[in-house]
Amino acid sequence: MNFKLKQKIATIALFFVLLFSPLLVLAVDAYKYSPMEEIPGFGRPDSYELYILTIYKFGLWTVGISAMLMISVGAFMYITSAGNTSATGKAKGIIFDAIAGLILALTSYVLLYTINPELVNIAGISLPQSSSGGSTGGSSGSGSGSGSTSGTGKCEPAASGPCSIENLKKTCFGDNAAMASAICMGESSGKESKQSGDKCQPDNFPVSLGLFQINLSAHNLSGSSCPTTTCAASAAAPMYTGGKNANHNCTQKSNYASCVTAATTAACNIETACKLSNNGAKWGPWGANSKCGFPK
Amino acid sequence: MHTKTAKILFISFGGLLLILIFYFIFSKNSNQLTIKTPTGKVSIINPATLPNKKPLSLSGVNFKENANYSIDYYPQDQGFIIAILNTDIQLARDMAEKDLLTTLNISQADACKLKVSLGVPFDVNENASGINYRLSFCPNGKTFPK
Repeated sequence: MNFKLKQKIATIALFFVLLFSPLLVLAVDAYKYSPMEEIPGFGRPDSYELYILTIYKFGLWTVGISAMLMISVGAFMYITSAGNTSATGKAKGIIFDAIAGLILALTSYVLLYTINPELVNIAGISLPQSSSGGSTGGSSGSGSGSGSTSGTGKCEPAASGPCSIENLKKTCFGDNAAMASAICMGESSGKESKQSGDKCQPDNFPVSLGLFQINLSAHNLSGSSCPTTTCAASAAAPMYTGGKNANHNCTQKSNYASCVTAATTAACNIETACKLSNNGAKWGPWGANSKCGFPK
Repeated sequence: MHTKTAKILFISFGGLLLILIFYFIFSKNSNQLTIKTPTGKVSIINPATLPNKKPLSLSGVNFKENANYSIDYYPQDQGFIIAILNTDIQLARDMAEKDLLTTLNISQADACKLKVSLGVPFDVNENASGINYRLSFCPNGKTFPK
């Protein structure tokens, strides 16, 4: 076998090894794939299907930028050829090759897009979920710890938006995303700016806000996504409570407006709920859990 | 055919193809949005172009909100979220569903192809909360508990 053929085979083999080696992680734990290095401009894809599509998109960008660069190089060579037929021909060759490469790459995109837009859509392809990947709905939450129990099947997860299982899996809820999604669906129906029916009296302003209906008179907001964190007693006081020790008399404090803005920001609300629920393992304080029946 | 003519033809053809490719990729009717679903394409009014829209996380938009219901759209998963806010949940649902069809300018059959989540928050109605009822006129739509 000659050297060039060996080199080609080795290159192709290396390409496939690099492309499919992440599949090995699927045997350990689905959806937990995390590359050590970022793909430039695309971050760290957290699943294998995202990895494949991200590489494809990165390739398209690379082809586009390379083509632009080579057209510029060719044009420069053409201008400076000063009538030299050989140099002119070489310059033209570079330009034609660059354009041909660009057309080829973009044609593949158009063809895939025409067949099915989901083929070039990162969110559109997903691998079948492994049995170890957690429950698929609120009806059978996968709580952590020895005291965890399954839900009663009376709550369903949110199907879309920031409270979907897919989105919450990427947060600190992790494997408890199904329960978190169902609680979010119960509390706010997935509406980010949901204002509560719980209203401080006598001024009648909402005290629980956002996806997980965080009680601003009782809790601080926590997380890197929260512009304001100090809320309990600084947003509304004294504490609004329900049940046996009900107290609905509370007044607005100086941080109320900024706490409302933060609590109605999806990422901040999710981070706070995650901390308050012990990463989604304990749902006792949430009213909707009286129906869902998740671990308290 | 002369080499020069061939090159001119190649450049012309290539240029034309490039223009067509860019047209396919980047040309979008700003007011229309086509959503491909497992049961076929649905062309809707792009919620992001509607007046009075409010931006949400994940590039989502809230394009309808009143005392009875709220409707959000998330392009990430091409899903719609309807939250019922009035304690007369059946009346609010009827109004929200009608408004969705009118605003997006789609038929009931097309609406059923979309991913629409319809829920009732716990503080609006405890008994009805926590369930995705979907659209009442769709085969997978659920009725509220009595």
